[in-house]
Amino acid sequence: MSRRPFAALLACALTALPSQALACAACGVGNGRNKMAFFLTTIFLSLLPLGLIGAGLLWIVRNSRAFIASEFHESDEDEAGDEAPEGGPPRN
Amino acid sequence: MRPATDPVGPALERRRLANNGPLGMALVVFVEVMLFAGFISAFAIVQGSAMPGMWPPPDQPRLPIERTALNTAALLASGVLLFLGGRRFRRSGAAAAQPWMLGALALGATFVVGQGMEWVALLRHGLTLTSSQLGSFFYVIIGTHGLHAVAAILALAWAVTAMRARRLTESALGAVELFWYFVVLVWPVLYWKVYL
Repeated sequence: MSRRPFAALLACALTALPSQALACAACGVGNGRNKMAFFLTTIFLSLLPLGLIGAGLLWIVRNSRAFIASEFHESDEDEAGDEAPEGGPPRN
Repeated sequence: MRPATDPVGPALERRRLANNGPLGMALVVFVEVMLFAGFISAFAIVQGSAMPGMWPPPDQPRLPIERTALNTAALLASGVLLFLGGRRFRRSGAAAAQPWMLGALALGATFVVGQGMEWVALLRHGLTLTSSQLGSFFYVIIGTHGLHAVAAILALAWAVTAMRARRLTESALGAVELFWYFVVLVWPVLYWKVYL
């Protein structure tokens, strides 16, 4: 067997392994509701910080676009004013 | 020629993507959200590990759902009033915002006092920090939120005082608002998970 398929097979086996190993003694015992609570809270606590960070980044991207657009708009206006023909209204 | 009093021309206004106050408070709120998420997760797991029909523990008093619903309504209404007050502060100034902010402060205080009265009644009925897992989680989770609510009330009281003295900045109000919204919005989740 070549190395690449073997590595892929090993990776698949490792992803399936935790459910068989029951590495956490507290997660593996108990009733179905308890197991489900562990499962759902693990997902919740894993995704919540990622969601918060993602929301923060999204906010920064959206607002920085508007911020940069307004900055360029103002500088364009400034340049247009500087190039005004002689005799026009003074800028300062 | 520039005037002698203004050797470098008009000062350039430094624009920012976000004010420092709300930005710093957003980081605090991020941490607080994770704190309450941890509490709620631990509570859900303990609740799930109880034998069928044994949660809440039969020998423990029931949590006052109806009275707390009224407190919840007061807290949510305070959030709405603060939102309207903040908007008026930015549009019309301090005088227009003051009644709304005072209303938010009063409703927030109503919530905290109501929760305190509820705690006294529960302690009298035997629900203590050590009486059961429900008691432990109840006082830790709801108590932590209560401390946050008290801190938010103090912050809002400071904001109202600063507003009267014409010292309140938009940045400071934004930070106070953000913290208050966090206290308001996390409460329905706690009420749903702990009380219902």
